[in-house]
Amino acid sequence: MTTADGQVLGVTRVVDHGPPAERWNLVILGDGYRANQMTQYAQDAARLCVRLEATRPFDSVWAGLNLYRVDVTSTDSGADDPAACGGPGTTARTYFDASFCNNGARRLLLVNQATALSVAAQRVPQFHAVVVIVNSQVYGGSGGAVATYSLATGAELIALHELGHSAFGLADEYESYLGCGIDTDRDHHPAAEPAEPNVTVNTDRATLKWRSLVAQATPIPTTRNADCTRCDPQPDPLPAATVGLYEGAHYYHCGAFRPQFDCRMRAIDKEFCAVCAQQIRRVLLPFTPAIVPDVREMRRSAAHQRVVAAGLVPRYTGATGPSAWVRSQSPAGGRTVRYGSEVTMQLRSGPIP
Amino acid sequence: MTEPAVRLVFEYDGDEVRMLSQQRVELTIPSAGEPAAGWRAELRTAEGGVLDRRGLPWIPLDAEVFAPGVDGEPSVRRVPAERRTGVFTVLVPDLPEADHLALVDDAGGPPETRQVREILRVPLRAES
Ligand SMILES: [Zn+2]
Repeated sequence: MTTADGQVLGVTRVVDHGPPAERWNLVILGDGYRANQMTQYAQDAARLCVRLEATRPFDSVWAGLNLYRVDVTSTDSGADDPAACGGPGTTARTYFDASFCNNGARRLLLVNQATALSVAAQRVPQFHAVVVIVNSQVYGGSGGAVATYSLATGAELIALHELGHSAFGLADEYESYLGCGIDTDRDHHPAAEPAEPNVTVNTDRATLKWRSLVAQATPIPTTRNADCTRCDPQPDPLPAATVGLYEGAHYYHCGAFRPQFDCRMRAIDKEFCAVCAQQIRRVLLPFTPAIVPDVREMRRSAAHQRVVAAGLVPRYTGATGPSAWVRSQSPAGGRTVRYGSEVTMQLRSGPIP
Repeated sequence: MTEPAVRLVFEYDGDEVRMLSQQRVELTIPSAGEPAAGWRAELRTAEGGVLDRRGLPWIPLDAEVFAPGVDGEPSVRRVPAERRTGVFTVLVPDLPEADHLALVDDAGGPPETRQVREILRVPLRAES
């Protein structure tokens, strides 16, 4: 139940893109793993890394991220699962005290956040976000200063959604509060404009927050909810991934709008919409190392590209392009290199465009 | 760009907020977006000038609960918090003119009627 129920063994930089002072650093912690389950924990953490790297838009700014796995053992395996919420009533003595059944909801899985932040700060002082993997097959997770998720299928998507809030300032795009068909007081959104970049009450194309992503031919609003007493049942009238103005967002059936029909901030099994992806990229681009503008010759080995280059090594500023294939680079961006300087890039697989 | 920063960790229970730690660290600070209504942190000069503002969207009145979408459970819903309690961090630049960090609660709404209440003021230590 406390830090007496286990110990911190150490930290490993499992995704290494260079100096932590220059990167966006995510710390992965584990709870409810016994000492003899550390190999499994490493595999669970590796799966999160793979999932994040494959998630748009993290794939395009991947070179800006470092991921750290902190190995923490617990006396017992699993998490508390109280009978009050329909669980079996089991308790587990774990380092971060993971427990289901918070606020009366079994699937709300919380840990001791102060302990989690303290361990993260001790082991990775430059951390930007913390995710705790809880060794339980019961579906659950939570957000906040520390995101959590269990090992049930798809539960890691909870952490991606919650990072959308805590690390990137995104709002919820779903149109219910207690749930569609349950709410009775969610008909009309208040008139005030939400500050978050991915929801709005504004229906004016000329001043819409995400107008730069809306095609001229797309109707604004794109959909309206015909019955504000319930969630809008209509399917997407336009081709998938069209950016427009879809009614139903920010916990209200009407009067609030989202940019696309689907988004991970609306349903966690969907991709981030273009507006949310743009916001995440906007935050992460300053962490992403540079590319070399003036490449005179290249030599390539299996994993590394050696480039002889000249000029200023810029910071990467585009949404597509070389950062999609450069994993890391030395020296980092923002420095001037003389002709003949070698710049080493660690590459993804595939040919250089 | 790498810069000196201060990381503060707070614990809250209702409106009672307590600082747990204050740590200086060299890192790259993410850009701050426009803070939403709710709690936010303001880095201020001794005269009250605001040098930096950070939204604290993870201080909710409720919690977000996800379900795998079987057995008729909503795939996502919000449940009101029994007690508004938890922990949060604030990362701000370590600026020579900074004097204190203030936590405020912004009720939101139109600017002319918007109520902003100060919850706590924490002096920034010269060394930590
Ligand atoms: Zn979105």
